[in-house]
Amino acid sequence: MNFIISAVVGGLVAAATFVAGVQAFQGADQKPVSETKLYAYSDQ
Amino acid sequence: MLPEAGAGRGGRRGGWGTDAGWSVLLALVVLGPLLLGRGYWLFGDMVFVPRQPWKDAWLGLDGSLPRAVPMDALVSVATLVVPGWLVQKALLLGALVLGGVGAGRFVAGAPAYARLAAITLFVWNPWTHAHLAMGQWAILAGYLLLPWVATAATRVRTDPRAGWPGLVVVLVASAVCSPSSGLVAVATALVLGAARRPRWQPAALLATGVVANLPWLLPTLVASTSRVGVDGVFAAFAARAESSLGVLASLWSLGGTWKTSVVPAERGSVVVVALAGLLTCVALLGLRSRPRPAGTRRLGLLAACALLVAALPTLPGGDGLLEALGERVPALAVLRDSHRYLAPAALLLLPGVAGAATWAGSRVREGREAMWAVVALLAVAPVLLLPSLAWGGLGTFERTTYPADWDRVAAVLEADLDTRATTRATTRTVVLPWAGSYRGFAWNDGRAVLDPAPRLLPGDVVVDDRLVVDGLVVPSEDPAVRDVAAALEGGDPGRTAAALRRLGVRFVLVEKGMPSGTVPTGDVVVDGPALRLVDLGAPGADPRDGAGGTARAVVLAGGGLTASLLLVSLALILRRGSEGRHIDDRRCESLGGDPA
Repeated sequence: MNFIISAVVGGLVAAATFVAGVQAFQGADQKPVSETKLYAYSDQ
Repeated sequence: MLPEAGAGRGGRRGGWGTDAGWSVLLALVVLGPLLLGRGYWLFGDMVFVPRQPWKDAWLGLDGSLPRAVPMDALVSVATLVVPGWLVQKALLLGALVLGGVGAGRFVAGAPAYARLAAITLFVWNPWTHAHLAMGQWAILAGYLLLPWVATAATRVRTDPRAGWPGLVVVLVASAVCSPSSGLVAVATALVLGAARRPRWQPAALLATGVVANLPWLLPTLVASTSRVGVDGVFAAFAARAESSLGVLASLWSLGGTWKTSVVPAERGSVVVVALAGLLTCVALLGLRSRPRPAGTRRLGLLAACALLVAALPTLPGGDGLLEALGERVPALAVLRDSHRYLAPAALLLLPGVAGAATWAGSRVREGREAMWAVVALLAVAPVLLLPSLAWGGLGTFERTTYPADWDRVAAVLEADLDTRATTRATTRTVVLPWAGSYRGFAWNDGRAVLDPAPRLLPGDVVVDDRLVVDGLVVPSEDPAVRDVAAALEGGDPGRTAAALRRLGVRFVLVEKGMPSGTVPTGDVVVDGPALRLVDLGAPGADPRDGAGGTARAVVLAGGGLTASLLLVSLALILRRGSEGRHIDDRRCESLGGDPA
């Protein structure tokens, strides 16, 4: 039982960490409120 | 605090240290770079200044539409005592820690590990990220007060005699944060706190909520503004899909802000949004755990209403319906940023995720020790699914400081104000560029930030406060701004200067590094690398100096009533706390122990 639980939890952690972590660090260069949106302050 | 929540390990009084410690840890991870030294986070609506001079506008006494009333008044007073950069750190850190502790206390009867899971989910989710990234720190603070509001409201229902003072305090605190926070707090209190007996109790709850919100409500009612426009604003501020799973999937996991430019990259992933939605489902299943938390139905109703309000503009015909209603009831414009009103939905998830963690913890036995991994996963899942909230948006929020030019300009305006002290007239300054109220200063690495001039400089500072969203221009609601805009349209520097003087404008401040358009003719009194201040000469008219006498009296009376109610409530809380300690001491002495 321990093995099954560990495998499921490990899989979820790996998926979340890999997908979210990689995307977050790749997107970290973008300023959340960027100069290009200076006056419009919109999502365009 | 949920009534049945005190039965678990630790009881109602235990666990404060654990909750506070975990909350501090999360807050430090979120705010890290800000806390490492002097300087400010300046982005979006987050504007703190070294010293915020006192103005009538901070209490809504100037006749303009209140923006951050009365929070600006408190910040202004605080910056008279300590520097603004310290005030910013204290407010952000304090709010996050208070919110975390509140979430823990809301599920106080749960085991420590379950409370930690609830705290993490409440502090670390897409809603908090979106509002921090937009710089809406006061709205975030209002959200972080919600568990305290819910706890106090539940107590009013179950223990009316003892509950009211606490509810008054948290309702006033929420209203101080922002109008929308105040409204959400009142709605939360009504849903969670209304009782059938005595019959007057719901009306008393509503009346308490109204009095708590008077500091911003009355200035809004007496403001000399033009019509508040609702044309297209509900669609412009409607929640957005972050991934291909759609907007409802985003809202289901507390995401879906209208401002897609602040959405972190990971929220664009189907996998991440799906896993975050799964966490919400697990929390809802956790509500079925035993003992079942009391008040779940009310929390469910509150969450359903929150989700409906947030999703309504995205539903077919929803924005049109809101617009039609807004034409008849302009006050509905307060609902335009509907994503804000998703906040109370998070309250339902607190007992849910705590219940799920408690269930998982109760299944630990020989051969199933790995269930602790499930508990740990629930406690850190929000962090794993949203790493961008860590360390100042993974380093994108950097500290900055104001160039010395700002001090020089402030000194000139202060001196001019002093010369006018005998006439009670104020100094009016127009800020260029006249292109919306967000700036991209080079000294702030080009991040868009609300113009700090109205808060940093004394006197009446006029900025273009139109808002542009998705090409839609939300016009200014201030007639003075519209008059200045018309004067600036002339194009000829000399005529523009004369037109501005007729409107009572003495100075024009040019913020450098951005296209400023035509600068009116006048004497340059400050010309530094960041700012230029142009003196147009004596104005042709005295600028407005506050609202009319009656309006001013009404606003002050309302604020006084709220402050009185708050002080009485605080006194009652302190008195009961003191009485409680005396009773505890007497009990201890009767048992032969040492009260100390």
